[in-house]
Amino acid sequence: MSPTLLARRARVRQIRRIVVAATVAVFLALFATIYIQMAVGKDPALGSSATAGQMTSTSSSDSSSSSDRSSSDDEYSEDDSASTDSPSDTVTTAQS
Amino acid sequence: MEEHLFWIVSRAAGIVALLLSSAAVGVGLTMGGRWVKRRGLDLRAAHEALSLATLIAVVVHAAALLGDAYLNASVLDITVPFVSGYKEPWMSIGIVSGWVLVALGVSYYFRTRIGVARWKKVHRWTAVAWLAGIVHSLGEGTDAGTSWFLLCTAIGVVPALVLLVVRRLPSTPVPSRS
Repeated sequence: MSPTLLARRARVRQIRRIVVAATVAVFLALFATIYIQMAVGKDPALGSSATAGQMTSTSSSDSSSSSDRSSSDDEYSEDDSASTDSPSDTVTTAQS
Repeated sequence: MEEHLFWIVSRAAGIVALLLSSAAVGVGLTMGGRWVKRRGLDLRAAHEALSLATLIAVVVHAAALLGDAYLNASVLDITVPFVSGYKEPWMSIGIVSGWVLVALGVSYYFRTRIGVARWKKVHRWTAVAWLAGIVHSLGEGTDAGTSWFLLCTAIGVVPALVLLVVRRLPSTPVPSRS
């Protein structure tokens, strides 16, 4: 195999390595950003209820525990607002 | 927090896919526009690597939703448009653009069978799929309202968008000296 071809292949391998490394680095940075955002309670979907496993919402009409995400999710907040017509149905409890 | 891990993975992978696809489109337009005389091999290798990385990020973005207990999505929900009914039409726009990116990306390896000229014509639709991906991320993206996301998107998308606009502009005729 000619040295030129070997050099080209090495160059292509190097470019692939750079792309993979940059991709992994950006993914980890974004993952950390979103995780921290969630942990400090500033997640755009969860809002302040993200800070915890601290807040859980239970409903007598739905025995399965609803996710914190429903607090600000448009589609699911419609359901929430429907259920709040009868305040006794929805109980929000704080856990330590 | 553990219950949200799949969701965080999906969100991060979606943003990575957006940034990678923007870079791939930008490099592709630079190659096609012949604005760079040298480093043709480097650009082609970079374009291919960025495109493959985009496809992997798209797959991770979608597949991670299968593990999300809140969305509780099925394979059909994340692969077939208008099945899930979640945040439509943004979800379906994302699914269609994802499939188009996959199809056009894989078609590169069959371009001799397809015919190079025909493949080049079809390959131009990648830009449309990329634009649809941007619409999907801005319409449905959980982080679409955050300043860091908008900054990331601007840095990644705007240069490629400028290249696309410049490429699509009709070339101005050079005035003849008479």
